[in-house]
Amino acid sequence: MFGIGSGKIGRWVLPAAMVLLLVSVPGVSEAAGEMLGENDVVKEFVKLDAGSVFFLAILGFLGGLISGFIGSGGAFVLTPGMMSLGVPAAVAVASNMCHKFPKALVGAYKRYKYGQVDIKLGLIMAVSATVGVQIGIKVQKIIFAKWGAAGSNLYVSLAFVSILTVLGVYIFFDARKSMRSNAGANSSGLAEKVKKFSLPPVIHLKAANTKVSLWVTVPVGLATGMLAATIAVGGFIGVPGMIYVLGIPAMMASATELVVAFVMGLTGTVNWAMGGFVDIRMVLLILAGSLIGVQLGAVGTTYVKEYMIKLVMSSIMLVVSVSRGFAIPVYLHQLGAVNIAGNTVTLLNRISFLTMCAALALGGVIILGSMWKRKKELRAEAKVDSRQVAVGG
Amino acid sequence: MKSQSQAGAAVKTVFWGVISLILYLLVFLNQEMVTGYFTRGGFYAVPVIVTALVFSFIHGAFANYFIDAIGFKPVGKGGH
Repeated sequence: MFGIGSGKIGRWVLPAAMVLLLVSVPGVSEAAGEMLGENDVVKEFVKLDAGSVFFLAILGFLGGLISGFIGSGGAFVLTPGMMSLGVPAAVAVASNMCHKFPKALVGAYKRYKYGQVDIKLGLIMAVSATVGVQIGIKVQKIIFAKWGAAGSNLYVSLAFVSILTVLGVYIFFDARKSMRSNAGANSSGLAEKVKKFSLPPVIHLKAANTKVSLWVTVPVGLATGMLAATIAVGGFIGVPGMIYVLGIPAMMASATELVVAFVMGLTGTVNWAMGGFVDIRMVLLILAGSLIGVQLGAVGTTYVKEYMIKLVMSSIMLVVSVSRGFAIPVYLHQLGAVNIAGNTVTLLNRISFLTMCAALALGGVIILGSMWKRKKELRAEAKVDSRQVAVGG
Repeated sequence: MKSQSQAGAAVKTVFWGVISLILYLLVFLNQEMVTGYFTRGGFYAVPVIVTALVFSFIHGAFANYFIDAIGFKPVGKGGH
């Protein structure tokens, strides 16, 4: 147990020290996960027209909405989105990273007010995820050195498709089970076994009201970081890891992931901004939409049952996995394993990007739709109540 | 009561919205100068991070009251 965490001041000293430590870790800039080759590190800043402004604000809104609701997963489309405007890869990754930490901060604060965030768990996850990022980067570099950019991209896409499909299908069926039984939070068999594992140090998670061994928490954080370094969306493994391994309710896991996103986003931004790669104009345009979206998504979690978070997460994971599936033949072509015509390569890339946008839109429609539905139900219930009071009075 | 709190939220939305708009105009009317300074790297990382935090506070406050004003208040045991 952390003795330092008992006092009022100690509660804030520990998190602050952890954040400072992470900021000083070199190479966390690559926590964006999008590995860049030497040729990709170009520093150029594009001219933004009205269409680009609108496009970035809308992408920001939808991404924020999803992040506020499921804790992460909203930013995956932003880097390719910015690149589609002609922004160089390094600037797109840096600007995406820089919009992430203020958005996660606002979302985490909002959900903390609803009692959904476990700061201690979030910080432990963030520290171990940072180490995981370093491991992930090492693996990527080995692949890059051996098979080049196409091999690295193929590895990323295969990891995307296999991990997201398996997890997406599992979470989808779990959400459906909860939906049918109309149950709230349900614990997995693995989480029950994990709870019995009490190798010290055992951490008491106050907000989640559970105890868990650090030896279980750290691997989940490591895996989150490794995935962040591979496919740029660590939360797709962090949130399910907290739910199914640590036994944390989906509502709390998705909120706590925002703390992880904040710490990783801040540390990454420091590194990218020190290199001068952040285009603050694009960051602010994305934030214009995403600060509205993230708070709307956070409010949305109070409108729905737990299974809706799992349902939205699994739907997005599955569509994103399809999107990356379209990109696999392109990388196989670049590796010389298959031969595809130039037009087909362009078409596949376009389909892949559009499918990614569709994943974002699908998440947005489900969240806003279920909020709207619940709002109507609440209004109807309030009307019935006021009638009953009038009759009773 | 409800309409009163919604009206209060609308007033605050306009207040924070105007401040936010002014800040956005300041950045975008001077975008070449801003981009020039903010991409120098090194110590210039500080204004990048401070700007992102200032906007997250100002525009975040606007967004908070805007969501309230359009009637999406938190509900249930998690809400207020």
